[in-house]
Amino acid sequence: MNEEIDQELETSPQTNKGVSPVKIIVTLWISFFLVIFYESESLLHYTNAKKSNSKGEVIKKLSFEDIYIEPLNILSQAFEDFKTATGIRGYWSEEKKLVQTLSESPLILTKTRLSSAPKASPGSEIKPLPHKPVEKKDIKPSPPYKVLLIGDSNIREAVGIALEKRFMKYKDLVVIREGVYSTGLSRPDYFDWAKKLKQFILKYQPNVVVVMMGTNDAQAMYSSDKKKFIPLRSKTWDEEYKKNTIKLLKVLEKEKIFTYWIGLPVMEKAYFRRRMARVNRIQEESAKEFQNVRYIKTWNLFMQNKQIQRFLKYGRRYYRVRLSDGIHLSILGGRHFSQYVLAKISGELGLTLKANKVKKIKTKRKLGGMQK
Amino acid sequence: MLFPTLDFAVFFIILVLAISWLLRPHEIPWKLFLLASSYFFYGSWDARFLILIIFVTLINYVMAIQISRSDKQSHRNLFLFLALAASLGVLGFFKYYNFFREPLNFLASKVSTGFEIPIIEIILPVGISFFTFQAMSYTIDVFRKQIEVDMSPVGMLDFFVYIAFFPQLVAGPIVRARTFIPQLRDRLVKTVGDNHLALSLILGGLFKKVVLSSYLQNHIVDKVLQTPLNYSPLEILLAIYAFSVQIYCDFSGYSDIAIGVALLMGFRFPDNFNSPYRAVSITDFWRRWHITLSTWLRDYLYIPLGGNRRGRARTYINLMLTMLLGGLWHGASLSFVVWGGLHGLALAVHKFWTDFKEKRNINFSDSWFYSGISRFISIIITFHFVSFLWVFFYHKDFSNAIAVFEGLVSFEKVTPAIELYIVIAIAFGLSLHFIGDAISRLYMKIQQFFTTGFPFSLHSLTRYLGGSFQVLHNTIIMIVIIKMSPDIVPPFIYFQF
Repeated sequence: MNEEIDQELETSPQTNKGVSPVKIIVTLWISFFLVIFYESESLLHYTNAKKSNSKGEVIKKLSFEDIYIEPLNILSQAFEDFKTATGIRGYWSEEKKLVQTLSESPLILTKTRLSSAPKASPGSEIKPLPHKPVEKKDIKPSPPYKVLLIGDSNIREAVGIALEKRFMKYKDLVVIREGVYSTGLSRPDYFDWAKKLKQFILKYQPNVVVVMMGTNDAQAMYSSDKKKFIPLRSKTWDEEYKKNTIKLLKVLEKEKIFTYWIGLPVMEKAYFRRRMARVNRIQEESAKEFQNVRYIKTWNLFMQNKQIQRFLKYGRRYYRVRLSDGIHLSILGGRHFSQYVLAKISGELGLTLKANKVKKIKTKRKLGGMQK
Repeated sequence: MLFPTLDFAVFFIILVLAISWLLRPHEIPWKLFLLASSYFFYGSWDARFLILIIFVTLINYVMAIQISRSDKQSHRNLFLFLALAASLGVLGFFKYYNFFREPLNFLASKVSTGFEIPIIEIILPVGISFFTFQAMSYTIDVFRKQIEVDMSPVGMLDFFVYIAFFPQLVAGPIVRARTFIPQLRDRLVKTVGDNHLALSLILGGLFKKVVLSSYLQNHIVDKVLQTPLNYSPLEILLAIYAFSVQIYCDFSGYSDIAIGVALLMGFRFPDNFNSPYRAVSITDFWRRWHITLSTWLRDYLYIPLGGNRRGRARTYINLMLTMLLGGLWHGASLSFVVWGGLHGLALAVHKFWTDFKEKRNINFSDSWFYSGISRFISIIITFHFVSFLWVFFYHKDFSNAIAVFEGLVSFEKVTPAIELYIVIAIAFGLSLHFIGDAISRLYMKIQQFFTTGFPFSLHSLTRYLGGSFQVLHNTIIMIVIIKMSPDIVPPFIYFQF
């Protein structure tokens, strides 16, 4: 009797009979196309941007992308058209809001990080800052400072870390760093810095904001009424980009927050250097229209005799200034950069080093470590 | 070409999977296609790397043939030495040149002034540690007469595919020739053995990597561990836990995707992870973490060194040495040396403790209560030991790693601000170690029920429902993963090794 059951089990479909690969491949293909259908909007944008970006390059590197970008573009365009025709476009827009609300995590134990006071110098009592600083003739803020660093991957990585560490060495100062990868000013439809900055200001109530962004901005963008698609090579791109920059700066002007706008340093690759020079020019122009904004020019920081500096000497060794992409700074490059920037900022704000930090720096130097 | 990208989706789902099954009945075109697509996959990082992988493959193959042909032991030794020297030479040059340049320079300057070893800017080829190890294992196995070299052109093609096969090429699992090459020759395989397992591995791996691991990295690990002095000890501790979960999800996610992808193509890979943080001791941990590397080190390093057969002192030294070299395998920096050394020390101490217990006949596990308690405490201790050592893994710069520990014991008054979701993510990542098996079993049961297991025998209905269920289920999970993923998924940690 038992043997019969065993035999039955062996022949039943539950055991590993294997599935024909055709079935699996077809299943996967249909799933893949359904995902493309669902995500057609973002895919359309992605493929459009890829296409318009690759046109500007003189020497085109052949990559796997080139094979499928064109068909994918056509496909997602067709899906978008289908969605508008049938009226189901935007049917799932609620889920965007859901994801956004979910991405903001509630805090436990304490309400905000800023309730923690920095180690103040004796005598000075730290009061919570008023939401809007009182208007003064001198627009410079007074200590204690709350510095908010915002920006793209540069602030997220080496430059931001170096700036944060260097800011931490000063008295009466709290520093918060909020860098978000692959963000910038040309794609508010994807990440709206002006909106996000308002939230950050409410959350942290800073009186100094340091901005550095733009490396991701050399890409096609939608016009502000979201009707036209502006490729990078058109002249209206400059105007649109300036609009977005000014929109961000107006948030800061309204809150009367003293702002430093850090320009981008020179890039290694020629085509990218040209693009960043353009972005820098627009940013500088916009920054000069505001009373409360100081623009720090860093373009020539890694240039020597009109040559791009690739290495920095530290101790007896040479280190790369940048990572292999030629854009992001290395840790040492970031330190060098932050030293330059902070020399300017601390001079203007009149910052003084913490006493214990001075000692610590000296002992670490003796050890010959990488800490500067 | 990374796994969780559009590039790979198009490459694998649309092209390679279909074409490989189409060509499978024809032996040589099929293998040539596998080789070409693997080289394409690898060359998409940098075409120059291809020269390297072809060189390593060729030299190991030629030397393996020479070893199997010659009868004299001295010749065999020579050929083995040549193969190992070439493989390790490539590995050493690309990985350790700049690490050893400084001390060598110092020595050279003592001997003669003016001589300096030049700076060379080296890009580390991805996965170099993995494929050189795989190639070396083949030559050593031939030397030990555990496998035989197939000298026909097809055999050569088999070997090339074995080294370059794209699912395992860049970050393991390190597959042995004895498990892989027979599968290449078995052309009777006409079906995908376990598609539910394959899909659950791929989707689960994607979830682990794209959602869990990158969430933790973006929201706590990078922030806190980069500037530990800015945070309270509690947050630093949480960040260390978070990094443990992150590195597990990252690497086991990669292995899961690789195993699943290979399974869809009709190959079975060995397991690489087995709930590592459930380990009750450090020895147990290394049986559960990166299993293919630990067994590789055991078979080709620890046992040739003498293993545990040359007395107790030698056993401890061998353990230390193996782990030290295992640490150095991950990269050239003081942090990895310290990491490997401490793991080796812990293994030796644990070995000593078990020997001691046996000798004195100490046994804690008499009653279920004491055994449960001791088991619980052992898991906690092992997990903390491993987690704290991961800090050296995170910071290649030794002084930065020390700064994290400084922050952990500093008592400056910084109020911690802990985000609830991070705690949930860490707890979920750790709980996967205990309930992960049950989840995946349940998940596969559900899939099986919908595809084949209907209680009534409406065959056609089952077929259509099964197919559409499969489609729907894949799509929904993919979309959920896309929605929950950050804008840029950080690259896999193990790609740098």
